[in-house]
Amino acid sequence: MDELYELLEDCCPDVDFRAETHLIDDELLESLDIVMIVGELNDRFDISISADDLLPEHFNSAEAIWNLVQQRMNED
Amino acid sequence: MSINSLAFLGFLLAAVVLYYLLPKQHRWVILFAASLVFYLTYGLRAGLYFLVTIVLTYGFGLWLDRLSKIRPAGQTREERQAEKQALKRKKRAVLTAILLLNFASLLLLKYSASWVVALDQVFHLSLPVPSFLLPLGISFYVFQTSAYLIDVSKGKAAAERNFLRYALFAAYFPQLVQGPINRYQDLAPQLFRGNDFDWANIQNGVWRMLYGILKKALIADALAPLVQSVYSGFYDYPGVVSFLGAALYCLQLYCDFSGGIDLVCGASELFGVHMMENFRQPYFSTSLADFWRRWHISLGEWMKDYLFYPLALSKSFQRFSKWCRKVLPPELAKRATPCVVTFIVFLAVGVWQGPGLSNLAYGMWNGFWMSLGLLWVPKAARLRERYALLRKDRLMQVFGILRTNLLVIVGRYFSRATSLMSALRMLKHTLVRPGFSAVSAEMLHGLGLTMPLLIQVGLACAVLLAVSLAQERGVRVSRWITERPWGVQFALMFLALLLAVFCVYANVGYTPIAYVYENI
Repeated sequence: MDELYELLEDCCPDVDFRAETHLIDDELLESLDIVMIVGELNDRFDISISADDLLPEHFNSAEAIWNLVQQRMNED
Repeated sequence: MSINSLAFLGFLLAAVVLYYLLPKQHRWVILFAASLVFYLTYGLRAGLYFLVTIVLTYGFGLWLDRLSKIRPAGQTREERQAEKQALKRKKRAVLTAILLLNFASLLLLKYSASWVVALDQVFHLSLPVPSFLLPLGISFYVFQTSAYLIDVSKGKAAAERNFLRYALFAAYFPQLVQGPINRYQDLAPQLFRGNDFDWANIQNGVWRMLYGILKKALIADALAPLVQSVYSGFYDYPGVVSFLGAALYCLQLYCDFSGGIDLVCGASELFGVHMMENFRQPYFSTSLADFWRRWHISLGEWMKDYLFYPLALSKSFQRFSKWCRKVLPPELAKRATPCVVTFIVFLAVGVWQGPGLSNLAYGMWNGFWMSLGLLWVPKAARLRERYALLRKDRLMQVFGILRTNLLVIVGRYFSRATSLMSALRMLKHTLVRPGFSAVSAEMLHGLGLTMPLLIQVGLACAVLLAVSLAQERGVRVSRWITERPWGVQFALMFLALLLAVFCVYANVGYTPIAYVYENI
């Protein structure tokens, strides 16, 4: 999880990923940020997150993102 | 039938009365009949073209739905996987075919004539220029039906089986002229369920329509001749007048487009159907990215969901990302794909605006600043840490609004100009010959900036600003009015109607102008 926090904070230095739980609903993450984060996740964890996975519930919090990453890692 | 005409008001009133007179389960039939009548007032040929589009997208929607529901029946896991892959390929082929057909018709009808003229100018081929009828709101319904087909193929929406109901979704008359581009999942249930009569919907709808008329008639149409004079004869005036013209065009376009959207959303609310919002006080934006989240929201959302994400996360761009990580510094590499795809999306937005290089340049202008903004994020964060001045929220907000509006105004040099060369000349004229001292009251008067116009636009803009500030604070103005005592409501309604009837519909010195986005 620490690796994820580091990755997220690197992509979006202005967002408090440890506290926020409504990243999409409160418009803290833009589409540009999401694409950047997904690119980094796919590369760092060697997974494949596609456009169909881009649902608010997968990106509203660091925990939700971590769950998506683990889900994809288990599938692969 | 123009939506800013008396005929439309009469038509709307009749449709609303009939809608609530019918039993709930048949109410959608009135919406369908009204949409049919509305479209046919624009001519039979346009109606026939639209019918072909509806039949095709309806049929392909059902086909995609059937493919989405097939479950692999193989005996072994490998067989089921192979079947699944084959189905996926077939679904993709069917979807690609109908999307190509849908967008090819748009390109053919909207762009072919301009492209042939451009080719002819370059290669002198003496090609015959095609002359097609441009069906009303074609860009809007092509985008809306395409979104429906993609959602059905992904299983996000179930295909509509009743042809007439599907036709109503595609041709619902308030959205036909200039959007918004509604999503099937949001719009269809509201259209088909038969809404109860709700006095609040009628009140909100009427207030919103009046607000739309105010924006369109008292601001947009009043400024249109002045803006036209500046763009067509900018060489006759000092450069600063070109800038003023572009700034006034920003105001005109906003009041024209959002005024039209207010009118149709208000009209739709009379039936209890709430369409997607298309604007959220765009000129209060603190960055260009913020502006594009507040301006033409339904197009922005469409571009994001159906072009930006699929392109950015496609295999090709994933490979491009990997390559960037090898050759670029990490900070730049992770931003490369979003930057390039953003640029491509804004090129598409430029093309969507219309044929011609000036529209393409408009897309490039926005794409360039949006991409640069993304690259600037880490640097801006470091600068904020270092300089306390940059951490003053209010100051940065004002600076952000000014900077964003400047970028938007310069962008409008391109989107309004008749050609790319004309836009570039106008921009050069602004920078090289600003001529602040040469501007005089007589000159502005000659342009049409007269005292009565200033008073009319000034008063209307004061209302616009007050409403926008309230909306920015989350106040729903129509609801706020309906919560006032009856006397206040009556006085406000009387004033608004007086304005609408005597300034707009009674044609006292006012000729309604077609909406800018009507022919897009």
